[in-house]
Amino acid sequence: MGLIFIRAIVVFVALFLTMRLMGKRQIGEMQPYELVITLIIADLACIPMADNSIPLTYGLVAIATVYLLHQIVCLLDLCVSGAKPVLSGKPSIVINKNGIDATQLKKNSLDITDLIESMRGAGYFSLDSVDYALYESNGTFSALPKPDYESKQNSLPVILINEGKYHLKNVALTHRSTDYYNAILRDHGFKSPHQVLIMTVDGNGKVYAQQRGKRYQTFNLNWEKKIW
Amino acid sequence: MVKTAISIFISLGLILIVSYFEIAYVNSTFSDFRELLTVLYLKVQSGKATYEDGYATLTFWEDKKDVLHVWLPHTSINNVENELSEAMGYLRQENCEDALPKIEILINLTHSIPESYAIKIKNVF
Repeated sequence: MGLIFIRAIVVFVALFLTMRLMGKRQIGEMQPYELVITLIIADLACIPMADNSIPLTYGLVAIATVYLLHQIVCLLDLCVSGAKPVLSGKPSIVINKNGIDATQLKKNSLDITDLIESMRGAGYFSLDSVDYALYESNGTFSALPKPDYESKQNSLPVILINEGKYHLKNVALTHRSTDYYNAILRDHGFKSPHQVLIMTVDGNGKVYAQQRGKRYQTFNLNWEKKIW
Repeated sequence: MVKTAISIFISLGLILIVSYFEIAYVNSTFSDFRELLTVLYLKVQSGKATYEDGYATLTFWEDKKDVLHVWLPHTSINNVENELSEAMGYLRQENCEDALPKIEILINLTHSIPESYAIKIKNVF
């Protein structure tokens, strides 16, 4: 039993560290330790139940150990002020006043398409419709919209450049060429498309573009007519 | 918070008590069993062993094995059971030569079984 107790602790700690290292992408509305418990508790109960060569006490002690560890983590979370960021992680601000924070996205194993997907899920279709956006420690997405954000999203934006690479299908949707966009980027101070972290355009020709490590820009391409 | 702390102490206490009892019970049972087997081994080696000598060891095992099933994987207990049955069969036939290696295996199992479930680094990983 003592051996099972120690082995259960080792597995719990290993899974917990793995979940913390994987970032928020893997979590989805649970704290890391809750996910770890969810992952292992079913097997702890089922294996001794189904395999009659293993004494049931092995499963019971392992479950009791997981319960004990859960209570310890909860207690640390409540009582030790510095423990919460270590155990549950901190919220990651992925959009701030300067635009997208690519470093925070990378830290959480997310990319810009994941962020855009989360924004759409929360009802924000344009990257400039929010002042701040963050992933909570349990992986849920929260955003602080701009006061007039609804006026900013009257056409669906599509990604033209993502991390320096053109999405040629989307470029074709706008009935323009990459040369056209290269010239526009040069006009707005971008030396090459490779420096572009993200560039989106909506059907009205409104562009959101951000250079790596710099503040985002929005500008209008003054298209004669709305494309979509 | 107090409730959480109490539940931690209770569950930790229960686990430690159960673990201690398990270690003590398994070690003492296998130690007693080893003593009986050693006596039997010496008798078999001298050629004076009878089926009744083996029967005392068998009775001891039969008494203890049900509780051991709570603490140890059943396959380990079945291994002991099989070797013991073979040894008893040889003793019934008064075949000491073949019974001896079986008892030797059983003595080895009384060392190796508690060892493989003891709290040691090699067993944790």
